[in-house]
Amino acid sequence: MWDGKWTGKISKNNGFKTEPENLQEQLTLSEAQSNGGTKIMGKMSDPLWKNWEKFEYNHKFLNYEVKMVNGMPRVLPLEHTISIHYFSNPKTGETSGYKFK
Amino acid sequence: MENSFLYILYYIEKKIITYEQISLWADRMLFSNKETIPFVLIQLSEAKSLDEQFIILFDEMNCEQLNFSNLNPLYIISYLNCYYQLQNEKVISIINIIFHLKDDINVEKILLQDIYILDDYCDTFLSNVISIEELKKHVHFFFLKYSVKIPDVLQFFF
Repeated sequence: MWDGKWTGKISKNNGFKTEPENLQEQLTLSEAQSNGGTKIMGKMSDPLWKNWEKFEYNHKFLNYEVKMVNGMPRVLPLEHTISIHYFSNPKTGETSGYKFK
Repeated sequence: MENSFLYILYYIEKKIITYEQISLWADRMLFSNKETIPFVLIQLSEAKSLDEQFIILFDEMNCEQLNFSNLNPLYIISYLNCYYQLQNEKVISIINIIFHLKDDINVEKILLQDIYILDDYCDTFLSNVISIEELKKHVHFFFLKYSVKIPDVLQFFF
C-alpha cells in the first residue's frame, strides 16, 4: 500500500526553491536539517506525501538594505526571516523535501 | 497617523504599494487635516521616489529598527484582497506574502492554521496536483473569511 515517499519531485520543480543561494540560507538549511523545526501539519493529503508530516524551521536575521535618496545611499537594518518547510515520516523519522518558502 | 506609516513601510517592503499611491494618500490626508498639517505629509507628497518615501517614514518612526508586530493582519489581508482583485495573475506571490505575515506580525492560532493550509494548496498546485482555478477558489475563500472593512486612514487607492 502506497504510504508516501520522496521522489525528487520537489527538487526538479521550478516552482520550488530547494538550493540555498547565500550564506544565510545555507546556514538556515543546515540548522533545519540538524536541529529540526516545528510540526505545522500532520497526515498530508497530497498523494506524494501521504501520511508524512510537514515541519517548518525559521531563521530571523538583520539584513542591511541600501535605499538611494538624491543619489546618496542610506543603509537601513531590516529584519528578515528565512523559512524552510520539509516533510518527516512519523514512522521512520526520515526527513525529506526541504524547500525555501 | 503613526500607525498608518508602519503599514505603508510594510507595504513598501513587500512591494505591494506604489510611489503614486503613497503620494495620493499623503495629499488626501493633507486635505483632511484642517487644523494641523503634519510636515511629514508634505515631505511624502513632495518625495521624488519610493525609496525617499521609505526613508521619510523610517525617520519619522524614530527607531533603530522597524517593528511590525502590532499591525492588524486582517487589514493587511484586506489590502491584499484589493490588490488581488486587480492583479490576480500574481496569485502565487500574494499567497507568499500572506504566508510570511506570521514572520513579522502576531497572528492568532486559527489564522495561522489557515495560512498554512492556503500555503499547502499553493504547494499542491506547484506540484501539479490541483489546477490554478482550484487554487484561486481557495484564495477566494480565504479572503472571504478574513477580509474586513479597512479604516479610511489606511485606504490606499489603487
